[in-house]
Amino acid sequence: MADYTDTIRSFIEKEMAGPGGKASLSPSDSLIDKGIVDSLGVQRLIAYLEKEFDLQIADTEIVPEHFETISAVAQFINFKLGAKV
Amino acid sequence: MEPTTFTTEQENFKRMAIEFARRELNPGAKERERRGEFSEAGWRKCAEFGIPGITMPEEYGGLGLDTMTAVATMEGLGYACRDSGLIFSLNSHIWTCESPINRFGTEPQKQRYLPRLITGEIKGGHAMTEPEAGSDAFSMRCRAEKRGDRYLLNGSKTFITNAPIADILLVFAVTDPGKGFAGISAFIVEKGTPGFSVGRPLDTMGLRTCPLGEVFLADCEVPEENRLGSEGSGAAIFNAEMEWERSCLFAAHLGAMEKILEECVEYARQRRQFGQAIGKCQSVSHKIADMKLRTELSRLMLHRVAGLKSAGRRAPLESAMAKLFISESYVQNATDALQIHGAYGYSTEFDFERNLRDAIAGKIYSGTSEIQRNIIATFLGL
Repeated sequence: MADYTDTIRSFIEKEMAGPGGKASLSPSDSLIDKGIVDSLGVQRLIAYLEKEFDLQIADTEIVPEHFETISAVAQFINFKLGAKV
Repeated sequence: MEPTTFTTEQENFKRMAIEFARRELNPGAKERERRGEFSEAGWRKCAEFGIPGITMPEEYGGLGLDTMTAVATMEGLGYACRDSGLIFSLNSHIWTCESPINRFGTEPQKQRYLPRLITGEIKGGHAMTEPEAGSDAFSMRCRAEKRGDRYLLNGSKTFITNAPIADILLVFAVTDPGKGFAGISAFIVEKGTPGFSVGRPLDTMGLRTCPLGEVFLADCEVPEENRLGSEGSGAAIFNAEMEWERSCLFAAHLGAMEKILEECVEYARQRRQFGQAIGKCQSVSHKIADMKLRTELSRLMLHRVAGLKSAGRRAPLESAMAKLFISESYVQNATDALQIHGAYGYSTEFDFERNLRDAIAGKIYSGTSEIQRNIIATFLGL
C-alpha cells in the first residue's frame, strides 16, 4: 500500500498552512486544532484530493475523522484508492 | 425565450412552469406581498405540480429527474411567478431540508420524512443562523448535549426561512465545543417537540410572502435517531446544502432577469420621448445591452454548475462564483430596469420596485457576497 503522507503534507504545508511558522507539520498534528483546516479550507483540501488522486469523495465522507490529521487524510485516501480497484 | 443548453424535455419543463405560475400562482400575488402573507394554496399547487420532488428518488414519491430539469423549472418560475417569496420558501424546503435528508439520512429517516416533504404535506427548512453567528456561521452557540440515547438542545436561531410554517427543521448545534466547525452536528427537529418554539414572524424588505422567524430551543430533547449524519458532520451537511442551493435556487433569479430584460426592451421600443423611442438613446440602449450581457453570463455560469451537479460532481468554487455573479447581476438589472421605467418603475403599481427589493435578498442569503468572495479567494490559495 502506497504512503501518500508526504504528498498530502506538502500540499497542506505549501497551500494551506501558509507563512507564519505553521509549516513542518507532523502526521499526527491536529489540522483542526491548529486552525489549518477550517470550514472553507476543508473544501479546498477535498478539491485537491479529488484531482490529485482522481477520485470522488462523497459528502457523507467529509467527517472530522478523515481530516483531523495528515495521517488520517492519507489513510482515508488509501481506503478510497483501495475501494476503486 | 433565449436559447439555452437545455434538452427539449427540460425546455418543456420550463415552459410548463411558466404557464403554471401565470395560471395558478400569480392571482392575488401583489396583495399578498403587501400583506406579507404566505400562500398555503400556492404551496399546495406547487406540490401537486411536482416541484418539491423533481430531483427526489421515485421510491419516495419524487420524479427522479436531474439537476438541469430542476434548474429549468426554477428558471420558469422565476420568469413568470410574481410571488417570489413562495418560490424562495419552496427552495429552502427543497435544498436545506429535503435534499440533505435524502443525501445524509438513514433509511428510516428517509422513509419517515421524504414522502411527506415531496407531497408538500409537511414543510421544512433549516436553522443555522444565530443572533451572534451570521456569516461566521460555525461560531454558533446553540448546544446539543448527549444524554444517553437523546440530545438536549439549547440555544436560539434567527432569520430562519419557513420557521413560522415549518413542520420540521434541520437544526445545527455544537456537539463538541473544542472542535470548531468539526464539532457541529445536525438534528431533525419536529414542530411540537417539547422545548421547541418559534418566535414572531420577522418583517423584511423583500420576499415578503416567505415566512421568516426565530427559533428557540430550551432543553429540547431530540432522540439520537434524529441526528442527521454522524456527530461532527454538520459542517459537511451545511456546505453541501449551500452548494446545492447556490447551484439551483439562483435559477429563479436568472428567469426573473430574462423577464425584466424582455420588459425593458419592449418598453424602450414603445416609450417615446423627445420625438423618438427611448431605446434610440444610448443612455438607455447601453443599459439594456449590459443587462443582456449579465443575463447571458449568468446563464452560462449557472448551467455550468448545474451540469457539474447533474454529473455528480462537486462544485464549491463554481457554485460560489455563480451565486455571487447572478445575485449581483440581478440587483443591477433590477436597478437599471427601475431607472429605465422612471416613475413607472418606482411606482408600486408595477413589479420593478418589488423585483429590486426581492433581488437584494439574494446578496445576503445562501452566504453573503462577501462570503462567496472568501470562498473564491480560499480556492485561489489566498
